[in-house]
Amino acid sequence: MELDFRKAVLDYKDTVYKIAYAGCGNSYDADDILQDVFFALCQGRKKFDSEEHLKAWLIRVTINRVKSHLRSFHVKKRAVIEENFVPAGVDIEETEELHLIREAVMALPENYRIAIILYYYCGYSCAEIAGILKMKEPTVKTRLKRARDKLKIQLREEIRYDRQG
Amino acid sequence: MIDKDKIIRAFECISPSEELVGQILSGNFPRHRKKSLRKIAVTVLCACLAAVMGTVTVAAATGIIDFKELFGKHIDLDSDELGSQLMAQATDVVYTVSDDDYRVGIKGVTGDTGSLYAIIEITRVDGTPVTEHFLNTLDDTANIEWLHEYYGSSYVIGSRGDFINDKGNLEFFLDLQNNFGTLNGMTISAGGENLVLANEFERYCEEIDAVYGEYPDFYGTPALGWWRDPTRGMSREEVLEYEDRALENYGFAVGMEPLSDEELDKIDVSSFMLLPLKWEISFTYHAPEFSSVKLVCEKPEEKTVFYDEYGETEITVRNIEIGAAGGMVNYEYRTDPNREKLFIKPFSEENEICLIMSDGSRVPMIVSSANGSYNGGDSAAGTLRLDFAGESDDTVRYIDVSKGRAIYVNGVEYKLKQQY
Repeated sequence: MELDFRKAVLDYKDTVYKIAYAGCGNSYDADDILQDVFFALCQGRKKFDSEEHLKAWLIRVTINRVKSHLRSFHVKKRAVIEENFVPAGVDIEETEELHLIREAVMALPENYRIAIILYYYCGYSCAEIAGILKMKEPTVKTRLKRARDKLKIQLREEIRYDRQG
Repeated sequence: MIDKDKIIRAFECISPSEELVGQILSGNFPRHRKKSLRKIAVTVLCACLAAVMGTVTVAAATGIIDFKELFGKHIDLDSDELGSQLMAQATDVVYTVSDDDYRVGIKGVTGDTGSLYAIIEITRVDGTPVTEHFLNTLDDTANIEWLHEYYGSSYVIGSRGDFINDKGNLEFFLDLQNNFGTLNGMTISAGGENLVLANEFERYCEEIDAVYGEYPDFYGTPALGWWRDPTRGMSREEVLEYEDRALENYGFAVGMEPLSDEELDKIDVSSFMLLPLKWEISFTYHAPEFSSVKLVCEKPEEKTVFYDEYGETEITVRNIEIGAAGGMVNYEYRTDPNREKLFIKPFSEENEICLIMSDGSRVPMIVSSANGSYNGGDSAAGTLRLDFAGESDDTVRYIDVSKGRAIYVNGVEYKLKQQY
C-alpha cells in the first residue's frame, strides 16, 4: 500500500491525539506525542499492507510513546493541568456532564484510560485491544470492567458532591 | 448513567489544534517543548528509606497446594483429572514483612524439574483489600523487584499479569526456568521493598507540595535528590534558545541543575518518611512426580522439514526429548553460507508439531525458541524448544507425557520411548 502521508494525518490525527491525551492526561504532552508519531511515520520507510495495518501501527506507536513518556524522569515531577475542552453544539448542562465523564475517565490509571479509549472511541473489540496492548483478552475485559466500576463510583460521588454544594 | 455514546461524546472534542496539524502536514515538526509543571504526580519509591524499616519474621508453613484451584487462571489444564494430579509441594515457607497487618503467601506452585511457576499473594490480616491501604501499583510494572539468585546456571525470574487480583490484593506470578540443571529441591526466594502505604504517600505528597510551594523553582524528592529547572520563567524563545545551547554543549535538550549545598540546607527533609512494605518469601520447591518422565526418540536421523520466512528447509533430526513442560529437538541441515540468514527460525505457523498419545489423540506443540550454530561449509545445526501451548500466547500447559507414543513433525512421525 502506498503511504499517503497527508491522508494518514487527516484520517488518524484525532485517534492518535485522543490516545495520547488519554495516556498522558494533558494536551501539551499529547501535542508532543502527535508530532512524534507522525514524524516517525514520515521518516520511516515502513511498508503497510492495508489501511488497518497503518492504523494499528499508529496506535501501537502512540501507546509506546505514551508509555516511554510516562516513564521519563521529567514527567514524574509534573502534575496535570486541568483543561476544559468545550464540545461544540451542546448545552451547558450536557457540557458539564461530559466534562465530569471526561474527568472521571482521566482520573483512571493510564492503562484503564487507554483501554477505554480503544474500546469506546476506536471501536476495537477486547480481542483486538489484547493484540494491540500485547496482553491476554481476559485482562482487557477485567480492565474495562474495573474501569467501568471505577467510573460508576466516581461519577456518583461527583454528582453527590455537586448536589451538596 | 454512563453509556457508550456519552463516553464517545466526552472525548469527541479532544483533538489537536489546527495550527499543529497544519505544521505536521507541512512537514514542520516543532521540537519537544515540555511544559514545566511542579508537584509530584507519581509514586516515588523510596529505597533509601528501607534501612529504617524493621522486619519481622511472621510465620513458617508447610503445605501441599492444589494446582487446579490455584492455577486455573494462568495455566490451561488438559482435563479435570489431570488438574487434580498437577500438585506440587512447597515446604519450609518463610515470609517476612515489615508490618504485622500484612501476610505474604504462596497460592500455588507447579512445574517440572527445570521450570517452576508459582503465584504469590500479599493479603491483609484483617481481610480488607490491600489496595485500600496501598497505592494501586497495577500500572507501575517497575514496582516489583524479585530477588535474583543463581544456582550455578542461569534462570529467568520475573512476573507477569496484573498485580492486583480480583480481591484487591497484590498478586505476583513467579516464573523460573533452569535449562541447565534442576530446580527440584532448591530454595527459591523473591521479594521487594517498594510498595508504599497509601496514606503515607498522601502525606508525603503534601509535604513535597509544601516544599514546592515555598521553593517553586525546585524539583525532586528526598530519595532522588533535588534540582532546579533552569528554564523556569523563561519565555518560549528563551527556552528554545536554551535547549539549542544545551543540545550543542551536552547533547540533550533540557538540563536539570542540582541544587547547591546552601540551597539544600533550606529544605527540611527530616519530616519526610515513606514506609514501604518490605516483603520476602522463600520456599523449597519439589517438582511433581510425573514431571520427571522423559520421552526420547527411538530412531532419529530421519529427515523432515521446517518452515520459516525463507521457505522450507530439509533437516535431519539428531535427538528429541519430551517432558511434562515441553521438549527439545536437535537437528542438522545444509545451509547456504551466502544466504542472508544462515539459520532457520521455524516460528512459522506452517510448522505442524504435536505429541501423539497412545490413544491416538494429538497434543499440539509450538516452537518457543530456536538456536543455531554454523559448523562450517554448508553445514549448520539447531535446537528447538517446544512448549505445549495454552489457549493464549502467554499461557503454557503441563501435561502427563507418560502415554506419549510419538512426535509428529511436519509429516514425519518420530517414535518415542520412556527413558528412566
